[in-house]
Amino acid sequence: MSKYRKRFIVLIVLVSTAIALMSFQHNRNPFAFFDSIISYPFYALDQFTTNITLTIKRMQRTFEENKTLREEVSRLGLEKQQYREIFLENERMKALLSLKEREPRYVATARIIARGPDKLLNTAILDKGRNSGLEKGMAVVTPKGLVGKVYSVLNSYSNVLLLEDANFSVAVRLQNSRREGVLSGTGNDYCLLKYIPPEENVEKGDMVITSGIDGIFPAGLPVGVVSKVKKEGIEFCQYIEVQPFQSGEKIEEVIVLKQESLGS
Amino acid sequence: MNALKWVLLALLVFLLQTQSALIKDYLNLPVILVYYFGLKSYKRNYGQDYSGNKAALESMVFGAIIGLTEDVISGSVFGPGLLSKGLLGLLTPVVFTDMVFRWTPLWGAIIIVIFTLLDGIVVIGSRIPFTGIHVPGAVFFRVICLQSIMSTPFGILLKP
Repeated sequence: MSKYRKRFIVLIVLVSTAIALMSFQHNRNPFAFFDSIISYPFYALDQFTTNITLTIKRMQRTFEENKTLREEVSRLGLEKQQYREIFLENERMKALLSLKEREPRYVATARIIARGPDKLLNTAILDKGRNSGLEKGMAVVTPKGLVGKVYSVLNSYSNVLLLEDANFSVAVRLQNSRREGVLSGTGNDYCLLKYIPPEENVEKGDMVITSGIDGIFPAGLPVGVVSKVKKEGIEFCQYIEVQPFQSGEKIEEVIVLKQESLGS
Repeated sequence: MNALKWVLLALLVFLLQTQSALIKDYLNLPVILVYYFGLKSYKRNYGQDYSGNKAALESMVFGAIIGLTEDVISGSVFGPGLLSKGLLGLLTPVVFTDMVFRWTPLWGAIIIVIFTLLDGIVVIGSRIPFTGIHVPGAVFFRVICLQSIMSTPFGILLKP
């Protein structure tokens, strides 16, 4: 038998078997049982792989969800921070408003937009100037206390000499003893209360307020608290260090007041 | 050992074909498997029997089993897969003994494209009269053409 004949027979057998099988099943399904037995392992495998695929998809979804939630948490954290900033600003503004209402010498509320360019001076720059009514020598305060005084004015900006600067001086009074003195900046974070005689009883923690006799600052503004008193080894005056209530590095908004002599 | 290798390969093929939506749409892995078996069978038997009948019979039986399994998994009637894959199994060694005599990558690519098209035509052609299920011509044409084109690299890479 030739190879072609053999192949032809094999082909006929194959086609006949297939057609016979298909015809046999055309109206009924005699292999249902056989079908279920053979297909079971595949269905089981199918279920297994489906479960794995589902698990992977769930994990992927979880990762994506996690990523989204992390972004959301970051966004909310930032938002919370912004709200807190607004809340704090609101608190400061309320305090400033209250000060503005009770202070007849009010001129303007200003924001500190920068520190002075000269590192040797403790100064700050305000966002208000001559256009807002500011003038040289005006007092700059916050609800906490004295900040400094305006020492140069431009149309839209002005410079403030801060309390801690060595060039700054203000007439003050010890609140308890009513003793007058002069408070000067040192260039550090404390000031010196000068011209207090040795016999005067000054205690650590005594409050220092403006006396108003210098004609620049209104009387009664809180300035600071006595932090150190030294009587030993001195001849004419006590050595008194005062810690200002309002640190120059923590100011954001201030109120500018007219000079005492120009006040009422 | 050789039989086990083919069983495992067949299992892998069915697993990929049924589980991966991408492969299901773009590749006909059982056809590639039967073609590969036919190539290997042709090479194995070539030196012993120049007629190639043994190789043809072997790969036809393998193709028929693969086709039958495919029929079982598909849940349709038994027969279309058996017929198409059996036919491909029979033809693979014959093509390289009687038609082109020698395997080359180009011939491999051409043959696998033709085989994929043939398989689709035989399977759908046999299902329509025996199950009454009709497949839209455009869909059928698109699927088998895509599968044929995507099978080309296998035709080039799979050597006897």
